[in-house]
Amino acid sequence: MKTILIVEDDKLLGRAISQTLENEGYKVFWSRNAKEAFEALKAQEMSLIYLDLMLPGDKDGYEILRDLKQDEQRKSIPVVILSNLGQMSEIDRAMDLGASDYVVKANIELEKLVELTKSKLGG
Amino acid sequence: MSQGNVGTNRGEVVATKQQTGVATTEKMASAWMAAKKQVDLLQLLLTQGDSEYLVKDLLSSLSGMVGAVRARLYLISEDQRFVECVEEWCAGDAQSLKEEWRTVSVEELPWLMKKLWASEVLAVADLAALGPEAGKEAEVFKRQMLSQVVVVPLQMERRLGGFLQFDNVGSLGSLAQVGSDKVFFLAVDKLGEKLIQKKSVVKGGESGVYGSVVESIDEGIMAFTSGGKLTLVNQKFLGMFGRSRGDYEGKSLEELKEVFGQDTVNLMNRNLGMVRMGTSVVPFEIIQNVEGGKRFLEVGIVPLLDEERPLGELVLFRDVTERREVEEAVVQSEKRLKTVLGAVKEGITFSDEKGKFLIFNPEMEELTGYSMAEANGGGEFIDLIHPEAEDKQRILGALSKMHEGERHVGETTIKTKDGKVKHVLVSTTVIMRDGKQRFLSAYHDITERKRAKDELVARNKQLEEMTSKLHTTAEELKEARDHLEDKVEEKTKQLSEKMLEAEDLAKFSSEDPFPVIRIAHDGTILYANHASGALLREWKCKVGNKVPEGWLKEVVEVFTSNNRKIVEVELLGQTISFVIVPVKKNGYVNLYGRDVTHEKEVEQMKNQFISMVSHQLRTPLTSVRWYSGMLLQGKEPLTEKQKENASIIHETSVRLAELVTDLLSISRMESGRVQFAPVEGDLVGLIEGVVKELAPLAQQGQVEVEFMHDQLAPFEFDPKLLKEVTLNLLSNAIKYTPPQGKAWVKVKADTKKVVVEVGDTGMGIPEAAQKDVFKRFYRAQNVVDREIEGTGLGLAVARMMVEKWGGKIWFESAERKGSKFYFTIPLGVVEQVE
Repeated sequence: MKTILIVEDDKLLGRAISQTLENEGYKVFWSRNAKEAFEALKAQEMSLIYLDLMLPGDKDGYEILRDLKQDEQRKSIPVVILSNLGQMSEIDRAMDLGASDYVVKANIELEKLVELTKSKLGG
Repeated sequence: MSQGNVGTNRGEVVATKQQTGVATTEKMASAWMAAKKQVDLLQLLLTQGDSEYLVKDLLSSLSGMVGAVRARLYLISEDQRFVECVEEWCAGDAQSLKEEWRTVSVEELPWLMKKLWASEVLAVADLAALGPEAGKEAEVFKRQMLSQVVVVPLQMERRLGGFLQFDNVGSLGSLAQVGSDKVFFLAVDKLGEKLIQKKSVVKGGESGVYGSVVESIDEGIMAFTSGGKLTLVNQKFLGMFGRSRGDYEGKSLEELKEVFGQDTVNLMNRNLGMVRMGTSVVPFEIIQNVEGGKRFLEVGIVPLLDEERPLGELVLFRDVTERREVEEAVVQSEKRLKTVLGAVKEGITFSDEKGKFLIFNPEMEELTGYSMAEANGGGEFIDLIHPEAEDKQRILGALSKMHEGERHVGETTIKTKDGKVKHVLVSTTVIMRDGKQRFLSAYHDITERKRAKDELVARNKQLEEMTSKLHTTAEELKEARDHLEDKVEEKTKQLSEKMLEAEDLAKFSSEDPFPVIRIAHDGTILYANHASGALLREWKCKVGNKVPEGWLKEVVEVFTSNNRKIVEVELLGQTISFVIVPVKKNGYVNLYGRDVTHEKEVEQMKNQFISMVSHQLRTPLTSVRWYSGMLLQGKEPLTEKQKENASIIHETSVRLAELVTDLLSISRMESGRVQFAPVEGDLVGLIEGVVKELAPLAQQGQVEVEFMHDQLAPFEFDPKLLKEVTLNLLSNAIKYTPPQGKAWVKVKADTKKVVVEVGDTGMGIPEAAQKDVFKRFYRAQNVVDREIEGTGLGLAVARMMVEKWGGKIWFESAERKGSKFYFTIPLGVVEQVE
């Protein structure tokens, strides 16, 4: 079973994605900040990470992404940025740090997210 | 004082008055007054029931006085229903009134009777001129073949007893020719005859019918016997001369010189003598000093005859003081006028309505070359001085339209007697006298002035031509100079380039607050101004040294490519932006620094703000979108209604999400970065979708929405942008249209473009707001007043989008009538914007 880590501080959104992907048969871990995310990553090998950019706590999404990409063990895990930020500068910055995709939450349906997940994980 | 003088004066005045037409009216009045007296007498006789045979004589004498060919006496019947002609007098060949017309019903004379009851004397000069109110009378007069009619009411026992009708009065105007005095004395003459016939003259006194007749006359009367003794005076006479009857009766004129004065006595004796010799005398005037001042008295003398045998003379005195005073005043004022006119330099004329000059001053004679006599004599003066018919007509036209007191001032030309043409300024004032126009004109010779003016105009024209020529020359000079300047500029440029090489670096803008540095293409610093100090310290070098490696790279790049480059540097907490400008031919580059710290900060703040806003807005929006989506996709079955409602929530959230994106994209669009993704699509279907999407809004606002379109072949457009624009405009149309209004979308296409019209019958855009509606956050006052929600972004976004795809957007609107927005989508143009 493919495992997916969702880093999302908003309860309602986190729940919605989790439920949707679980319904598709994935094992989903949901963290609300950097600390929880790294704990989950230690505990579990992840196939895909959905990462929000604006997060509470000492590290935001960019920093988590940077850390992940500097972590030899984990830098190959595809990271999809799932944020409501969407300026070119923000997109460029995330892509430069090694994100595989950039999705603006408000502009996407959950079904599309499922499609994207399937394409990332190969079915 | 001399009566002769007075008489002479009077003659003059009368002559003047005849010219002015005053006398005519006055004489008519006098004539009628005289006739009235006779009528009074007739009345008196009738009242006394005396002497029927007298009536015809009186009619005859009265006819003679007024120049009538017939005179008729009508009496009103007892029952007041008709009038009957009881006596008639006809001149020799005049026809007598037909028997059947002797009686006329009062009903046929309503207007006449009304006038007569009002004691008015009627004089009808022209039957055709009678008004409609006198229609019946006109019929009667016509039947009797009358042309000019005079009707005089007769009072008997203090009520209207009948009237006298004089027919075919030769000419009412001829009454004037008869002369008041003559008529008057004729009347008195007749009276005298009647007195003599009754043989009671010598008795005199106040007794008897004739005494009362004499007393009834308004003039002073004294009668002399053939023996030259005064036999009778009336009360009026005593009023004029004072004393009592006894002081006069039985005395000769000589004995009364204390009363009349020697001069008057002489004058009367002379005239009485002429009368006794059978010569009629014209009335003369005397001046009598009485209590209360000087009185002017008109004196007439007629013989008293019985069967051609002289009985004596009747002397009548009429007080004409008032009239004379008026005449004196006129004479005086005319004298004054003449004096005034003599002093002026202008030509002055005063003329009557026929153009006859009463005044033609010497200056006028000098101006025209004509004397007053020449001007008045033969031919019209206006023809003399205005040989051109047009001129004449223009002047006469202007004058004929003038009213009393009006002044007409105009410039004209006149021809003088010796054929010279003069320019004159003519000022004419109209003075009305007895309903007739008099013209007082002043002629001012402006020939010289005009000539000077014409000369001036000619000179001005010359001057203008010269100026124009000068101007042309100046233009040419300017062109030549411009050409020269171009050359000079070129030379200067060349020179300045040369000079630049030799330029003293000390002159370089050392005062500039921003860094200015010159670096040779090998990296050697050639010059650095004072503000460059910090950068040089950072570089750890000074003028003459080479710049650090990184900068050498930039310098070489700019120099080699010969293109400017902007490089930003953080320096002591400031952001300095350098423009590196190559100066290839001199082998160096110039660096111009500018502090952009603040701009950077602002841009950063703006970005942070947008990030914050998009996050804050989008997060709850995403919830709504996703959860409504889950509701629709979920396993739990929903009722149709629930499904519909969930759909609306979902779609609206999607639209909101897009709106937020568009809001954010405004700032992106400003920097030229916007996604434009045209694909081939179905515009009609897309707009139908928009109309459907807004159906709930329309329903809520009770606005009917209509969609009309041409048949369209598929073409390329950006569905997202187009939907956004249509949605924006149509939602505005619905939002700003009151209930029961209409909104519509019309799509038309030609070979080059598709035009979409979004219209409504709504509140419209106030004219003052029309120039601003496309501005961001602008909202017109009329929608703000009605508290209609909106951000003021819709039209701004719409315009940006339309312009992004190369279309145009505009509108027509009238407040309270509605608006029509139009936008175009060019066909066959796929504009890819980065």
